Amino acid sequence: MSAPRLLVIALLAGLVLLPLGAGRAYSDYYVALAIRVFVFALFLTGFDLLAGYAGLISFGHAMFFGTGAYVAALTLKHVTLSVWGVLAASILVNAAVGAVVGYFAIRAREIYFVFLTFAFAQFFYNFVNGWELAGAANGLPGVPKPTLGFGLGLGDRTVLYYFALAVAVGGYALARRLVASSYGRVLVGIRENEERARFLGYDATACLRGAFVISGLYAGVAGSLLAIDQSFVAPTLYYWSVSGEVLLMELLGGMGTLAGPVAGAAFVIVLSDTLSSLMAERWLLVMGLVYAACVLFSPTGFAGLVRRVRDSRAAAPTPSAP
Amino acid sequence: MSLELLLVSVLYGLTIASALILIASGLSLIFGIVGVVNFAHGSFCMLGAYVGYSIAAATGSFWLAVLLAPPVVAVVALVIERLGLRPLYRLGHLYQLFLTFALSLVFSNLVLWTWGGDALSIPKPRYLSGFIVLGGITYPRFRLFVLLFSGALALALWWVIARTTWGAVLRAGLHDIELVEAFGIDTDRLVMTVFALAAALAAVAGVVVGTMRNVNPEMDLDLINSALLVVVIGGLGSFRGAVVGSLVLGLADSFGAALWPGLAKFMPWIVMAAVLLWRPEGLMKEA
Amino acid sequence: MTDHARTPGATTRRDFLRTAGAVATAGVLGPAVARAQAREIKVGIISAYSGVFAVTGKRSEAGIRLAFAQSKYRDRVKYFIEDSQVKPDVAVQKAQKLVEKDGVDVVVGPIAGHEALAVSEYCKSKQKLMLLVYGGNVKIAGENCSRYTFMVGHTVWSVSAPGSPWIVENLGKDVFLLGSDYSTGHDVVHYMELELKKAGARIVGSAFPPFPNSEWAPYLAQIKNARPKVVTGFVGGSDLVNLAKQMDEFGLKRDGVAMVQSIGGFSDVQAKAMGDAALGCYDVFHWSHWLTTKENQEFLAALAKAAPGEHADDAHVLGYDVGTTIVHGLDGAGGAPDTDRMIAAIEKRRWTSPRGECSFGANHAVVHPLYIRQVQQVGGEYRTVPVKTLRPTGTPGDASGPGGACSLKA
Repeated sequence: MSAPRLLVIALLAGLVLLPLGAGRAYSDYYVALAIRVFVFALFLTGFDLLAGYAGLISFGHAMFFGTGAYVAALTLKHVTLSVWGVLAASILVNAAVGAVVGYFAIRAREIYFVFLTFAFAQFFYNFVNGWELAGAANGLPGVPKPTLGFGLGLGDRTVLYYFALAVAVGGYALARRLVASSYGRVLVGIRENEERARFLGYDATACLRGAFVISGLYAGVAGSLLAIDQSFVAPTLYYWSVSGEVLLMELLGGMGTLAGPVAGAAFVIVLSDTLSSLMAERWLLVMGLVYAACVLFSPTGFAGLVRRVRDSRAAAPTPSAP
Repeated sequence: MSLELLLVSVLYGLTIASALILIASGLSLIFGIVGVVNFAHGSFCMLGAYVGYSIAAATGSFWLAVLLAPPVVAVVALVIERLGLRPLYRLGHLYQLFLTFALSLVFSNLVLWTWGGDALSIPKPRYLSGFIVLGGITYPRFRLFVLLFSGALALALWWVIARTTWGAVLRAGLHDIELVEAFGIDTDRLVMTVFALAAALAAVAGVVVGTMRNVNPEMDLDLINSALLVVVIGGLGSFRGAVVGSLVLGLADSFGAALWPGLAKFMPWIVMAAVLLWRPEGLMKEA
Repeated sequence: MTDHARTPGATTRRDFLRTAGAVATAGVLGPAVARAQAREIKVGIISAYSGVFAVTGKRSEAGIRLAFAQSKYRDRVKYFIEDSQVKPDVAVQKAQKLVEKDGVDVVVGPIAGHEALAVSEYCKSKQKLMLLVYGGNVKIAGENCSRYTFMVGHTVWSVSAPGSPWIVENLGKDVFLLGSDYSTGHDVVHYMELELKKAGARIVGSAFPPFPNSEWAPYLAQIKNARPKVVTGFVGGSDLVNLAKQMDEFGLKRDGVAMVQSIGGFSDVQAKAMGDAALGCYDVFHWSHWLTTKENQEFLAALAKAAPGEHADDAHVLGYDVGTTIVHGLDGAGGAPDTDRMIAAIEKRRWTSPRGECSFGANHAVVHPLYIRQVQQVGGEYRTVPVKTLRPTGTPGDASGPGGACSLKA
């Protein structure tokens, strides 16, 4: 078995075992923190499909994240306590959001697409911020915990942990298959040369719209998981800073590698959690410096760094004379 | 709509537009010449405002603040260009956006650290305080000053770009920087001059806006937000686009608030989305 | 493994080692020291430490620290400081960290209404004592009230609506209402409209400008058209600085239009940024730097000593009241941070704060004094002085209250 494969298996095993030590070897809090990492890992998996593979940088994915959270909260409060119902509602509503916004936004490319998605997300933010029935700016408290079936409830943090882990890993595996499929190759083809892809007979616009919706569904399910975890939703989930943070994670990790952005998410969440407790007043300054250093020293992100190390190792055993 | 409301809305829209031109034109020129969307442009304004505040507090002179803050900020911008952005030019827009975003985070926290978080005010000269009454409408003197002063600066900038030799080189550079280089022109110096000029204009705007409103550690976000809207509406990389975008946004803002107060907060986004859907490259494509 | 396995306050390994160390030391130094070295009191503070509200976080923390420094718990208290960035999802995460990892005894809650509600709900589920400095969300005094949460500062209602009759009697009947377009602005305008009408006012117009909003010209033109005597409501943050400046510059002050802001706003520090434009403006708040009471003078002197060069501001005194309330709870619980006994003691607390006479209502919302303050120029500095003392007020927690009926069982 290859070393990277072993590493992945060890990582997964570690994640499966993590809750067993909680409350004994370390605080239960780390289970909560891990759930947050899973939420954003899922978010980034979908985000990378659009940004890294299809080449469309969205600055408005907070609209899916927020919608996923609010749909989950409202479904749990008013419709059903089943988590499957919640996820179905989240996927349906966000598919609609993605289809409508995608229809308009996919007309633009590059930096203009960035701004257009940003504008749409601002609409959502402003709307929810004033939506009295959903608590407006004060947010919606008291979201009940859903049931999973088999007599299990997601109110138990351990159950929620495994559920979120399963969703994140499942979402990742699905994305892997997607990028390996012919559809995934078409997306990359469009990213590299859209005109050529069109010339070869692919409906580039339809393909990109599809990618936009799919990545939106990932973000939406991530938002639903967050709402379930926190039992509270507020319009800040729609704020542009969420979209910005996700973009940071994506770039830090390395675009178009799936694993890179997921690592970027884990890195940002764990680092900001640690730093902000160490120095509540200065941590953002340090974060800014870390981000700047990362982009200057490894613009292609963690994934690029790993690739470079691997290449240099591969090159090392056979030093060739000039 | 009463005549007074109409006149005030027009005047107000123009005032805001004139200040926005100073910020957005620099943002647009930087994009045009090196392809960088400079998220830290709002930080340049904010830094200018804070440096201006300190100068005004020390000397009691508004004019010294307007005069001395820009060179300070220009130096900061040059350092960022040389040490930070230069290595990233060969990569896409996104990486530069990422770096400038990180820097804006650093700047806002440095400002918070140095000047504290309370809102500050730059005192204005006595003869620019208060209001004047013009044919039945009351308008603040300082706003009139902002309109005239920023308007004059924008005109001067237009003259430099449109009528001087350097302007011709710049226009050629906005069109195709490699072509300019092929003609044996030192593009390094051109890029540095554009950065310094853009940062200096942003600092002037920062001092002026800081005096008109107030100086606080989040003003950078407010200003970069408006400036980005302007350049997207007007078209990136073009001076004319920055002017047109500023006018559109300034007037949309003022008439939006006057006519449809409930929609005011959506106004900039409605305008931007409408423009992008109609002309996805902004209103003005060429420099 | 689950939450139930670790009751709040259960001993963690680190705690155990620390206690063991203390016991070992005490064995050498004798029983007197052992008593003084009793268990640490862990206070977790979630507030804004980045962004524009960072000063609020720092000032309220200084107030809390002052209260503890004056108490017998000064050597036993340990602070855990967390920045919520005014985001509810981060605030909840920080609360989880404080309660589950650091094992704090008391949570001092975040400053915005939404995050305060989110953290209060979490603390309720963990049965953890929480005190609010700001975060005056009326829901926490009403339908989402919690046995474990005390609103020490105020609610959005208690520092807005009760000032209405004074406005009508003293400034004029024609009122224009202005609210920043988010929950606080809308809520304040709603509450004040009811009370103003009861007092016989005519509402000549209202507007909800976006937040943040730096430019007021279009709204000022509307206000001029409506010809009010008073402009009141709630305008958030540094927007108020711009509003006050522009009301002056556009000649509304010359026309004799009075400006009243609820929930403070014209504090000394803010007034300084507005300069002459602030002169004569009013606000409604429960404290002023220039109150001449003995308690306030003592507080100012103590803060000046503890934080030289700091001008005591609204957030300082609210932090101080939170600090003294925790200390009072500890006293009532015999010096140990026992949640139930602390709650019982705090519920009964009546005290003379630097603000004046304070106590808690049945819904755990503070009953505080209320002042009409005005910005005046005294010896070259801008001071927000109290010009009228109103009846002490709390926030009703029944069906008549703005947040709905409160039931503390749960």
